[in-house]
Order: sequence, then C-alpha cells, then structure tokens
Amino acid sequence: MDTYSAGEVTDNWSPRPVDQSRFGTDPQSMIWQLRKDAFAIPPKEIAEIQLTALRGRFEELVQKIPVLKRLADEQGVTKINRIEDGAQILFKHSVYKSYPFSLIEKNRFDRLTAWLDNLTVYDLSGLDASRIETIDDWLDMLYRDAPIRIIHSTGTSGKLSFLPRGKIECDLNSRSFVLGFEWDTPLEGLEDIPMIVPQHRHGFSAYNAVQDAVVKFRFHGDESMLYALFPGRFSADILSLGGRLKAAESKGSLGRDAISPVLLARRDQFIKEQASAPEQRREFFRNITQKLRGRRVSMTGNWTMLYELSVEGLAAGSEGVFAPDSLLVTAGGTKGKVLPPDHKEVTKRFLGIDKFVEGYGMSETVGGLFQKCEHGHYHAPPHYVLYLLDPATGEPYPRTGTQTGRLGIIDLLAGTYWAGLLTGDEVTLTWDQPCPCGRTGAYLGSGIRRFSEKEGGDDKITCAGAPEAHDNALAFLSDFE
Amino acid sequence: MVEFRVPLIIRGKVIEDADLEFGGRGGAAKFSSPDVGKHVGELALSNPSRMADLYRLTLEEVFDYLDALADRLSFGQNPYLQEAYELSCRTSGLGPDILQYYYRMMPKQMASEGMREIARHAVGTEYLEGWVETKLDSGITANIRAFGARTVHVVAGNTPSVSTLTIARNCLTRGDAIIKTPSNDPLTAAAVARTMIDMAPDHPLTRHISVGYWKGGDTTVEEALYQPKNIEKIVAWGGMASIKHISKYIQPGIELVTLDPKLSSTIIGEEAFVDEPTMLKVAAALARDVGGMNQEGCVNARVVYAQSGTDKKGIERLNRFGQMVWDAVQALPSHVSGPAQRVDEELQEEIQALRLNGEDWHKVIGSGGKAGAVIVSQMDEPVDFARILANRVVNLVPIDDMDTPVGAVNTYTQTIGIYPESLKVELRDRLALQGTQRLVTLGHCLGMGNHGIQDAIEPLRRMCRWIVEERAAPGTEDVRAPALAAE
Repeated sequence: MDTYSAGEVTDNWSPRPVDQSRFGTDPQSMIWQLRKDAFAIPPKEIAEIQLTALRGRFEELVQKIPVLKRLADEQGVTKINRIEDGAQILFKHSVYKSYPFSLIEKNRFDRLTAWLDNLTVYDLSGLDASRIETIDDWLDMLYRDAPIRIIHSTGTSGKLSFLPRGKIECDLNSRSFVLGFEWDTPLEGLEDIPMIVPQHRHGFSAYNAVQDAVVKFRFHGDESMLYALFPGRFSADILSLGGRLKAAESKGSLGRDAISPVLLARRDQFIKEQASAPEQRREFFRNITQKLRGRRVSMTGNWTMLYELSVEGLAAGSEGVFAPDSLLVTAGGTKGKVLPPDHKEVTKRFLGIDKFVEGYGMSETVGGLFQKCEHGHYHAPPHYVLYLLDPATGEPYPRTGTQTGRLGIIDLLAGTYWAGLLTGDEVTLTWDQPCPCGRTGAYLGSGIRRFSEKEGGDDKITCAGAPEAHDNALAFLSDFE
Repeated sequence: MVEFRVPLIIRGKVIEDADLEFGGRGGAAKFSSPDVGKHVGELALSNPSRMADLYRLTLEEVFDYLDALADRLSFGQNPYLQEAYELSCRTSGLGPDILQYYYRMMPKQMASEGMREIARHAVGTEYLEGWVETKLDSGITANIRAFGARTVHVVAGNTPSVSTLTIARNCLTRGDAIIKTPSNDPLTAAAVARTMIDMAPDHPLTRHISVGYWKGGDTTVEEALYQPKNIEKIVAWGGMASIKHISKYIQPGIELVTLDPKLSSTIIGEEAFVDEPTMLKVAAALARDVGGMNQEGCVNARVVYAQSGTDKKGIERLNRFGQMVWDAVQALPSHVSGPAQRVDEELQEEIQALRLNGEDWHKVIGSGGKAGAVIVSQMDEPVDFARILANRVVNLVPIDDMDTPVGAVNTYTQTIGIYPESLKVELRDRLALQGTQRLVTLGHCLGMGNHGIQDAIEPLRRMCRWIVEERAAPGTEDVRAPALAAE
C-alpha cells in the first residue's frame, strides 16, 4: 500500500490509501484518509496516535523554533510524556504579533524577517529584506525566496499577525477544502466546478491561501475557473495603515514621515482600485447571476461576507442563482458584526444552495475545519489534539465528560511551524460521549464564543483609557497632497 | 444569589425594590436594583424653580452641613459605607486595604476645610454666595452669580472617591444632581446619600441628590431623562464607550462636561542617573506613581521616558533602574498598592509574547500576573500595547533627548510626573501645547491640590450656570431717539 507524506503531496484533493499504523510517525498522512475512516478510529487509538505524533512533533520542532524552545523552557517541558503536557506549550495569539510595530514604520523589514525566523523551522537568515519598504513587498519576497507563505490576520486591532506557514502545508488546502463534502467516497469532477470568491482574489489572508491551492491543484492553474468579487489584491499595507491611524491617536500624531514614501507613491493606485470597486462588483454579479446561473459551484466565506453578498444580489432581483448541490463552506463567525436572525435564510435564498457545510476553525491550523454534523456538534478530526483549559487559571481540565472552558489545539499536520494554539474561544467540549452521528473523537457544542465578546458590554467605567478611533485609511492617504 | 441591594434614591426618598438583577464586575457579586425606567418621571426635576430652597441657605450653612456629614461618614460607624466597601471589595480593581484607605479618607474629603479652599480657588466663594458686582469700562454694571444646574453625573467606579467628590461638588455649587453609578461601584454614592437622609431628611442639600444604577446605554431611562426640559448638564467621567454613547444625547440645551478617559506618563531626566542613591530615590518616587491605587487611575504612570541614554551603557543603566522600580513597587505599603485583583488576560498574553522574543527589544522584569512587571524597552519606543498597561505593569523607555517624550504627548495625556523639578519648568510650555493637562513632581501623581483644575478644564465652574444681571450705563437707560427723549 502506498502512503503519502508531506514530501509527496501531488496535484490532488482526493483521499489516498494510507497506513493508519504509521499515523503516529507520519501525522501529515492523516489528512489523506477518507473521512468516513478518519472518523471511525476508536478513541483509544486516537489517543495513542496523538501521543506518539505529538511527542515526535515536539522533539522535532523544539530544537528548530526558538520561541517554542523558550516557552517549553519556561514551562519546564523537556519532552512529551503525557498528552496533557501539550497544554503547557500552547502559543497565544500575541506570539504572532509580538514584533515592535515600529519595524514596519521604519522599514526595518530585515529585522522583521529576523523576528519571523524565530517562528519557523526554515532558515530565513539568508534573505535580503534590506531594501523592502512595504508589507506587501515583504510578503511577496518571502513567498518568492523562502519556502513559506505568510498568513496574516485581518483584524482591525492595529497590528497584523504574521504566521509563517510552510508552502508544503498551504498545498494541503486543496484537500482541506473538500473534507466537509467527502464521506464514504471521493468527490468526483471537482475540476469542472468553478469557485466563487466573495472577496479579493490575491493576498495573504487565510482565504487567499485556499484560493491559490485550489487554482494550483484543482484547476491546474486555470484562473478563469475562479470568480472573485475583486480581482485585485487585498493589501496588507492598507489594512495595517488603518491600524496605524488608530495607534497614532494614542501614541502621538501620525504625519507624512510615518508613512513610507513607497506607500504614498502607490496611493493613486489604491484609490483608483477603490474607485473601480463598484464596477468590479457589477461585473461579479453579472458573472454569477448570468454566466454561472444554475451551475454547480464551490464557495467559501464567513457569514458576514455571504450575507452581505446575498442582500446585494437579492436587491438586484436575483434569487436561487446556483445549483442546489453546490459546495459551500462557511466558517469564521460574523467577525464582530451583528447579523439579522434570518441571515442564513436570506443567504440560502440568494445562493439557491440547499446545504451548507458549517465549520469551526482558525488560521493557525492547516487541517481544515471542525465540521458541524446534523446534531449540531463540531467534530475534531483526529489530527487535532484538543485541550480544554480553565479560563481563570489556565490549567487543563480532565479529558473526560462534557465541560466548558477555553479551547487549546495542536494541529499535528503542521511540521514547519508550531501549530499549538491557545484560542480565545469559550467552547463546550465533549470528550467521550459518542455523538449520535457516529463520528468518533471529541466534539464541540454549537455555542462557541469569544471570551472578549462575553466580557464586552460590561458597564464598568473608569477614567483610565485611550482612544480607539476608526478611520478610513484611504481617505487619510488621499489627504496627503 | 443576589448579595447586595442597590437602592434608587430620589431626592430624599429611598426605593428598595429589587426589580432587576445585575452581575458585578468579575462575576464576583450580584446586586439587585429598582427598575429606574419606572421612576424616570420622578427622577427628572422638570421644574427648575424647585431648586429655590437651595438658595435660602447661606454658604456657611452649606459648610456646616458638609462638616456634619463628614462626621457621619466615619467608616467604623457607618453601616452604609461598610456595605459599599463589602461590595467594592468584590468589584473593584483596588484591594481591600487600599479601598478601606479611601473609605477612611471620606470625612476629610467632605469636610469644609478643603471645600472652602476649593470654593475659593475653583469658583470664587463670593460667586457661590451671591451676586458679585463688577463695573465694566462701558459703564455697565454686571452682577454675576454662579447658580447650580440640574445635572446628571455619570461617575467612574475605579475609586470610591469619585462618588463622594461628586456629592461634595454638588453641595458646593447648589445643583440638583442625579448620579448614575457604575457597575464597578454601584453603592458608594447611595451610601453617602442615605447618610444624608438619616442626618437631615428635609435639608435642601439632601433633597437635591438622587442616585441610581441603570445599565449605561439603557435607552428607556436615558432617552427619557436626557432631555433639555429635565437637565442642563451631563458630567461624564471616563470610559470611551460611556462617553461616546452619552454624546448622542447632546443637543442645544444640554451641555456635556466630560472628564475623558486619559492616560498618564512620566519623564525622567538624566539627573536621575548621576549615582546609585539618586536612582534609588527616583525609583521609589516612580513606584508611587506606578503602583499607587493599584494603577487603576488615569493619573497613574504607565509609560516612563527616561533619559538614560540609548547606547549600550544607557540601556544597561535603565535595566538596573528597572530592577529598582520593580523592587520599589513590590515594597509599597498595602494601603497604597497590592497585587492585582483581576489579571488582564490580554495584557498578560502580550507580556508573555515579549518574553518569548528574547531580550533584543524588551527586557521583562517580573512575571506579570498579579505581581505586575517592569518592561524595559531596549530601544527608544514604548511597547505597542502601551494603552492597556495595568496591573502594575510599567514600561520604561530609554531616550537621549526630550523630543521623543514631548512628541508622544497628545490630548489623551492627562498627568505627567517629571523628575527633576527644573525639567518640569523647562518642558511645561511644550508639553502643554502638545496636549497634556497636568504636570506634577514625580511621585505625586495621586495627590490633587484643591485648585479645581482637572483635565484642562475647571469642572466646578463648568458645573455652574453663570448668570449675569446687567445694569445699563448711567445716562443710557432711556433708549428712545434723542429728540423724543428730550421732550
């Protein structure tokens, strides 16, 4: 029987024959298993595979990733003896944005590269970032000259997180996209199913990585199979500038000297792109409601993206545009926006798609989503080691029964960076009570929320605080004469 | 289980229904309160002339009242304050010892001695007492008097003193105050108001204080109450969200006096580094500004610019100084400072991430968490998360000259503690122009003189309605045309 490991990923998305007995030593092969089989592994075996694989991953990565080494040293973890040991070495989100923001303002992309070097197994020391002046150029350089593809955050917190995902792992995205639709047989004919992208075609968000993998493997490079709302690039610089404007409010004024001349020089191009956005939207809707009407398509996006798209489409008089058996994956919540209670119905009405695959996931992992079953449970595939922590003390809860706490996760698929993350999410996790859907392994209840949302809305007033302004980065740029 | 009942007090009347329940900060205490929405009609003083009773008092009688109230605010004897303290222990960012210190300070805060000085400096005693005649160059005689206003006070809860201060200020300015309390201190203002009711139920000063808790943003209360027919002013403390939602009620006829959310900083000149004893002395002073009141106030030091120099030697000096600051903060007496009551998780994660970076950019002294930390920047910039510094976490930033700290000041900078004095005098114009509001001797950020200046405004003067009665210049009373006038 052939087995597939990271080095042998070829142009495919379908399941492959795998040797389950080798999962512990070759965890990346787990993604190639047919989903029905992946969710049939007995819990005891899952635990054994995970312990072996985690032990191996840690040993392999701790010597190559300095930040992991420091965390492990700090926590006194020298090796993985029990699965619980992994709970001590989870990264928090802040790890991927712990560089000084001024490196970007001062164009010290060489030092930013040095910072990033602490988070990946690859040696980035030979890269030349000395002449780089924008984040977009830096991301492009890394993509061109290093075996990594950055995934940056899309939040508005003012500072982007940079996760150095290996290209080798990004290639798995063509596979992870279809996991939600596969069960006991491989999916057929995916090459002919166009993909709808309700956002920018290019860039370094997690969605962009999926799109690139899909084009590369599923469409063999044929861009015409992809229909993007905006054909251009989702600029990390523009995103970051918005954050910088916010930071300027509490750090002092942000003048022309804090904006890179290269970025200023590109201002006209950004503004032009923004001006053509309405025409791009019209073109996009023309395409999807005419050219693709009634066709089976595939699509991924969060509820906010899909809902906003649907409202616009319905207002233009279109309804039920795609074939009911189209492949639609949603995840990522509502990104802080409040959607009306009927947003799923509105979205379904416009898209005409019967069944959505709903998932829960995060950009720090590569192994795809926790898939929601018909009983409303999000099932973790066996390559995810889960932890449930007491939000107050950070101590892991026992791995039995059903409990609510803060979710930690280690993705065993990732071999080029440490995919161990302490999420900011409060989840209800069931360890050992089988779900009626028949899937084995741990699962989450549907009430997932961010701790920050839970704690928000409190009525505490203190006199200490600083502004959180929101400005339009483009409007700001255009003010410079 | 509801552990505390927060009353609604409307001008001498105490309503103790438990219509609604609220969770206290930190999920530690629950309290019930009457539904203020049911009582809005009564809460609003729709006829401002009902404030006339306040003007039958002399200012001396106001001071006498404050002294009598001060006597009754003795913490050991006052069960209302004790209850407020118990609740605050569960909700406040201040530890029990610090809280008790503030409760025990209340008599002094209320007593006439300090209030006389405030009246003198912050408003002008004679304007509070009666009409003050001023002859103008035009021959017009202006008679000016400071009247109180119907005012909603949205108070902050990071220290109980804000509630007592608000009541004292209202007495002094003879206003009609409706105090909206915060969830992190829903009882202190009510405790003082109940003490006033027990002491002098029918006294005008008692009858012009109302206190209630409703959730900030509750439109059934706020849309009904925040109308020009009901109030003239809103005095709002702190909280960006709180100020933003209040600002939507501002319209002609309602003035907003805002004591905005602010942050404070510190500038330390090169003189601090001349020798070890001086460094130790300065570190001890800085520790007061950092750790006093558990760094819960807007006045506390957070980012400290220190002219240690940014070369290797300078950074090394600052690292040593950082250790001294850490030691001094940890050594503060328990009524001044103590371990964090609740650890800010976001801050904790940022500190951990810095530590995992190694020491190229930042040296972290202390573990964070309840004990706090000193983060010494190894370059001339504050940490990116400076705006959330709390839990006695301070960031020392090395500088070579004063341009960096001056440039970092903006309109959200409240207090700057400065060492030495000569540097304060040298920088004061530049810092003021840049936006700062208060410059103090290092180590003294928590003391506030009775000058009445706060956040670059004079809140007591702003709490007043300044009324002028003008008498026309002699000989100009008859405004008919000269020909007609001559007839």
